[in-house]
Amino acid sequence: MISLSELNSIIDQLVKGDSEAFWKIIAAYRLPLRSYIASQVHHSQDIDDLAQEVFVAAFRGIKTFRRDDNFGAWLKGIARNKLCNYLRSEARREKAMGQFSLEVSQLISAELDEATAADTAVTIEMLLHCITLLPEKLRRVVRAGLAGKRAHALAEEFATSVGAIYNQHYRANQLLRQCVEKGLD
Amino acid sequence: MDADLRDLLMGWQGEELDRSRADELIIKLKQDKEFRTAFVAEIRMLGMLHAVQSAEPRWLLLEDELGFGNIDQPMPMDEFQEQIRQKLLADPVRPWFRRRWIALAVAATILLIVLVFGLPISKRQSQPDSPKHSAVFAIVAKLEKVEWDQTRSQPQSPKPPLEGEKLGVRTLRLLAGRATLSLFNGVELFVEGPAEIELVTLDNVSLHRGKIRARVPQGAEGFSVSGPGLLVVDLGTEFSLNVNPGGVSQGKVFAGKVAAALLNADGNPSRTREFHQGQLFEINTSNGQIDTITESEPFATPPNFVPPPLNVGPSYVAEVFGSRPWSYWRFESQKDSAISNEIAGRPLLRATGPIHLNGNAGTGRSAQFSADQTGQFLAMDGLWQPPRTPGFAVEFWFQSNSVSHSSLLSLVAPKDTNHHYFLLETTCRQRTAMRHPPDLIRLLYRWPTGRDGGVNLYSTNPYLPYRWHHLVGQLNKDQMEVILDGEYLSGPIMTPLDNAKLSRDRRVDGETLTLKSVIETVSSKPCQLVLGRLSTVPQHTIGTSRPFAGQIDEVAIYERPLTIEEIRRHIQAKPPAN
Repeated sequence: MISLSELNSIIDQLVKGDSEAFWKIIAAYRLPLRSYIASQVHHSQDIDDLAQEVFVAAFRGIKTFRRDDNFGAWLKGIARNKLCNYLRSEARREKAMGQFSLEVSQLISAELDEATAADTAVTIEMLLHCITLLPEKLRRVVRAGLAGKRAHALAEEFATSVGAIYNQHYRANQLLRQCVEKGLD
Repeated sequence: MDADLRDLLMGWQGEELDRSRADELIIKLKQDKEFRTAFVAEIRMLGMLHAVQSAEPRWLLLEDELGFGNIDQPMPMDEFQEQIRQKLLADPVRPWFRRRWIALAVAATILLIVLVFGLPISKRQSQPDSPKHSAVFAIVAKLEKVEWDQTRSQPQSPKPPLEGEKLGVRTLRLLAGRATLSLFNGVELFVEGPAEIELVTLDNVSLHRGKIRARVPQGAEGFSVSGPGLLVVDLGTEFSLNVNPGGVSQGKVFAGKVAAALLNADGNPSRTREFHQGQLFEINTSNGQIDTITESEPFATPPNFVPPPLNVGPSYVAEVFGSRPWSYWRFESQKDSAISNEIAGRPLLRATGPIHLNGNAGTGRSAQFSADQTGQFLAMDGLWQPPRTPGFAVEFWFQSNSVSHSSLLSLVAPKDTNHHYFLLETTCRQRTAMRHPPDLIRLLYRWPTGRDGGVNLYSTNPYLPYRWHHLVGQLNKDQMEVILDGEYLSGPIMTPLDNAKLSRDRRVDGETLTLKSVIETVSSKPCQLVLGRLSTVPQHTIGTSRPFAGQIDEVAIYERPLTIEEIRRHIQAKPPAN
């Protein structure tokens, strides 16, 4: 993550018109931001488009950022608004399940912000190492993911139910959390 | 897992839920804080897993907004990394590990993560962007029957350009023939005379008259060809444009799409239209129309030229055998998709995609990698564990069709991932990748293996399209070395400061060791060797494919570094046929 002095220096450069300096911010925050968005959005293209929109909005509004504030939290605030608009439009499009996602998102918004507040690129990258330590079957479940019809495809491959795939992913998540915590200890 | 939590997750991921069940779960979510916390923990993990396992996005809108950027520059060291670094330097063994070798491996791994991520090593070791690179941005790759119009030669560049010559801002006038230009962002331009073309910037050429065809690779989207009163902007494609006197220009999209525009007197687009693959279009600056058309005059074509294969002769082969390679592939025969290994009992190379051998048996053959084939590669059956101590070497010949960001040889671990341990690639300047110096060879060493980080070393001399080059990349103790056509360059894997800290004696389980010796012992793992592509991951992205177009030959890998004398002896043993 970027230190306060580095951030201030980047903002100084941006204010002077050196827009390329903003790439340093993107490099530091892209992974946590994409993680945060991906926790609530399941289509890869939408995740990346939303993350891009957040960075564009942050770049254009950099002068409104108060220098002593938490930049990550400020960025997440922009992301929250974009997510809210996105989920609303999905709710209109997908009716019942879209409405369900919107309600759930609103209910867990504060807790998700709190849970992800300390996530950095380094901690998230650590997962890559942790995934390699998982038992083979769990590793395959984690690598496949649950989005779209992946859980169905895996269930078919393993000759089991979709619910069982979710259970296995849950078990894998527990092991991954333990691994990351040990790594950070 | 609790059934409510599972159902909530399933509904959240888009599985169908009964309305009544959905309502139940919403109520529970409202009332039960513990349930909310458990759900948040799961979706947070799912989000992180998605982000860390997916390819890096390509943010063209941001690039337009911010300009060229280096998205992959190393992140600054933060407090967390510094803490880990300090802890490791004080005590390399973590108490929660049970076995010593795991402790050593993980300590070394984490330490290297910190070193690699935390220090701008690559900046210090890579070649600076020299003035020559900022002044020039294209190279004349091939000239076929070109007649230059020298009646209007420019005072500063009176001589017509030659093959291999680098060009900056310049106007070229062809009376006849075809010129292939390779831009430093990977764009290939085929210009057919009679034509007058002005090289303006890396992202724009101005065609005053004549025919041009542009092949724009991933990462160079936005490249444009302007003409009198018109502009064609690439949106990830290959397209042609014929600019005719009289204000009627014609174009065709061969792949992807383009945006075509009429320009007003200020040079701004007054009318635009998008065209897709297969569409013919006409831009008429006289009547202000942009339309699709059904017939057109012929467009410029790419060269039908394949450079001859490499022919090294028996003395070269004898020299390589004399250096005792672990494996040696000569590409003289191909059975089905397999290339045999000259070393008995060692693995085959197996081709995926339309890779074939160019040339005739007996006079030398080389592996030919076609253009526009993003999924092709050669991969070794089985794995190879290159020894970190004393080091290892890879040696081969290559000929690239253009200046491009393409992977020549990569060592990947684990197999079938895009986690690299060692990589040799040709560079060009791309928006969506690290801002490498263009037209050089990049050697990347990355431990622990992964998708980013690592230490870069760039060759001092450039590679040229359509030329055969000899290349050796190796780790030699604590040095990375790249030797292009016998020109040697080395760089330290770690900085002198780190070396000092890592060389201090430490007591580990009663043994005196240095962290450096531990790292050198453990920092290697069985790797998959891939030629002509970054990885075997099917996805075509800058982070996974970087396909190579051209030829590769005489690939040898060694379980020790080669000496510079040995390498030069190899080169000298090859007769100068090509």
